[in-house]
Amino acid sequence: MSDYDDFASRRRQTAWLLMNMRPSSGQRPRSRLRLWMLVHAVLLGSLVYGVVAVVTPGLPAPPIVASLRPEPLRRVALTPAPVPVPSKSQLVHPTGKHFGVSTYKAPWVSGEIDRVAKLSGAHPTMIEYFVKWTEPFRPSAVSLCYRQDALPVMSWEPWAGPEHGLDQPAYALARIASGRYDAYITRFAKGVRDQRWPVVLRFAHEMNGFWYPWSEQRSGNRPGDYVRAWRHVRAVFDRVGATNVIWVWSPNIIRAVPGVSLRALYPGDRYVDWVGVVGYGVRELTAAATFDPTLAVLHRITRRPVLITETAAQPGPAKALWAADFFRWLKRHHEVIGFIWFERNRATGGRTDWRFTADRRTLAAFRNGIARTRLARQV
Amino acid sequence: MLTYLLEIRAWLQTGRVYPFAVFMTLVWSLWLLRVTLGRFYRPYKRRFHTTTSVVIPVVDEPVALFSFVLARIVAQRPTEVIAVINGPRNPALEQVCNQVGVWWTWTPTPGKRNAVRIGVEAASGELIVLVDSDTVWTASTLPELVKPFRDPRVGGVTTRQRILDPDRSVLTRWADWLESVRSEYSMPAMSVLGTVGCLPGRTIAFRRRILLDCMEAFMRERFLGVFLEVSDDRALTNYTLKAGYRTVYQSTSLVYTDAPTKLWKLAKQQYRWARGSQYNTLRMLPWMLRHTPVLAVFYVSDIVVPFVLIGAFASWAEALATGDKWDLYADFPLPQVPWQALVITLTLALVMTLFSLAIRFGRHFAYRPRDLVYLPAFMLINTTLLMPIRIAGFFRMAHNAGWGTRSHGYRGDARSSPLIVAPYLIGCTMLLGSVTLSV
Repeated sequence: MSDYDDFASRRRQTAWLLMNMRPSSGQRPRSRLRLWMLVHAVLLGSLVYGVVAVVTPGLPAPPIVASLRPEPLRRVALTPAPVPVPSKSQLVHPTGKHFGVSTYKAPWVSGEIDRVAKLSGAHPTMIEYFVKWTEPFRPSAVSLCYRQDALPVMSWEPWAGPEHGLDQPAYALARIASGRYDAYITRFAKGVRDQRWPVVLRFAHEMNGFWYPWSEQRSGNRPGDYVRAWRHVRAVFDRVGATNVIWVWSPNIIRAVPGVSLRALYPGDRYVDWVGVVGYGVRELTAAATFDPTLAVLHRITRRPVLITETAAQPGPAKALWAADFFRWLKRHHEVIGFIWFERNRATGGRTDWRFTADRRTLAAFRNGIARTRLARQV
Repeated sequence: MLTYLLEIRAWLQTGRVYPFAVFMTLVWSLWLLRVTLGRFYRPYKRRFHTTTSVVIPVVDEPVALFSFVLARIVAQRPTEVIAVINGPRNPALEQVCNQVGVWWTWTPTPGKRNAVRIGVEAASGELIVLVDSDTVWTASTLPELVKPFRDPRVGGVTTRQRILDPDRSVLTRWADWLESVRSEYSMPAMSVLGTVGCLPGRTIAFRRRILLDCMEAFMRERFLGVFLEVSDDRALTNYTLKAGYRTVYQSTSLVYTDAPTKLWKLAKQQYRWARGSQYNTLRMLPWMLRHTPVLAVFYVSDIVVPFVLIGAFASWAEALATGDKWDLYADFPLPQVPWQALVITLTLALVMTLFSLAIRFGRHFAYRPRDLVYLPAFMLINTTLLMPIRIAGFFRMAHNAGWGTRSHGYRGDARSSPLIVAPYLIGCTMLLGSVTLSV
């Protein structure tokens, strides 16, 4: 503030004051403000509408905006040589084993898959993620999987999420079978169809357990409801023409639920492409102890290829042993076309720390096992 | 703005809540609330005659400026003008007072509060107008300022403030923008409710009765175990509100004041304000919640907003560190070449931000459109200087301190109390909460 002692500066201040100090500087033309606000509101409004219209296919928009909308997988198709969309039949019988992962945020972020690839020494060929029945089909999830050179495995769960409890009668299997959800299913199926790329769809998994609302022991469901619901959902997809779906029927291993009949829950070969199996190494020392009893039962029901849709081993001294044995077991079982490792810990959606990266020995066993496995070709 | 849109969309679709979206929603809803309230604002129109005592505490103001300030005050013929020179004796200032014909008194005790007390006790007018020694009045500042007192419920009135010659530097422009936004948005909104939470001290008028009643508490009262010398204006406002009076803003009473032109001085001034204002917010919170919940919303969000922004930064840092970059822009069509995608995203984001700020601060920019050029600098100052200062001010609010800008100023209280940790605890909780919820 000592500037004021400077004569020139003081003169400038005084001159400024004399020029600017009108008694009613508070009253300024309102019309100018109105014009200003109007112009900027229109400009911002049209930009906002443009952005929203670009990312929302259903919205009416001028042609220039609509032309910006991403076609399904435009970005993939834009890479140097256009990649042809593979057909379902090319994928149903892979020549090597699939190595899939389910991580916390994949496919939405790229970092997790890159990290798995780096640590395991092999790039995953499948990414598994979960979609509730409160969510729409998002084509970008599929394109992001393919961008990461992986086949999308979408676990499609007919419920509103775990926070709504284990009984959710709103999603009772009989309601699904009776067509109550046809509007949603149709919209979903059209989304799948329109983006053209094959999707592995794991609908209502672990149905033989009692821990999900779509169990026949929950939500007021009765025996036979599961198969009816499955066939109905499949029928809607077929009606819409969503043929780019690989249907995976995926029970849990029978360890916890030996009394539940798998045969009674199986929709039939006409409706199913792959049989999925969920099984974790908990107290077992070998993968055979975990999976073989279930595979024996399944073998009597169907000869469809088997995909281990969730697996991992519990932390402890046996974890590395189990992981090492898993790859030997995988090699022996020709009907098993691959596995998806549940790469999560408590913070990221696992019941315990299932990750193969959780300790050094397991990581080494995993790397070694992957290196000795002939993997399916990347898509 | 682009990020905000896409985050809102992701929020609706996946239920994932982004901290930046929370921040923006907060900012825009506060804006909407202020604008809606502000539409009902009208300055008082009818003239009012009463006796006025102008009290000017002064420490070491440059002589030229001080005499100019005094001359403009005297020209409006208040009943009396009292200059309270505090700190070491200052013959130059005494001489200025004698020349202009202003009664002055001297006190060796430094500190604005003590000077205010001496001035209030010496005053005889119905209204006391407290004026900072660097504040320049315009031609009708005083007659406009007393108009609201026609309403007997009104206890305190403040002026519209602008910065002298704001085109001098970026910092003065920024300060002017801040003052302008305050006088166009938050002041009218709070005034409509009759509860302006802080009548800024550059020029405020109070009923003398109110000041006399609260003088004892004004000089002694502690909170969090500390007596804070700074923020005297906010303290007086609080006493007026608590005494049941209305505090209002008279937009037609305009004063000019100076702003620091050095970054360091600006930081010190803002730090002082940040501490004083947040200290008084906590102190008044129980009262505000009971009597003026809207005011509580304004002031609590003043405290919370910087913390939410820290959370947003933390989540961006996490996204950068882990490479989680696709999910938000995945549905947005961008060219395959990375640098083109970056340029397009940034340009679009910048343009949208520009328009949205032009709207949010329209009442300033419509009349000073050239300030839009400086908007990036304003934003830079806000986020890199103001925000950390506000957070530091919150943590250190219960420390003892004097004025930062006056060399002979009040030095502060020597004692401190165990309650000093309270703001640290609250601050850490908010910081941790914000960051853990975001990452």
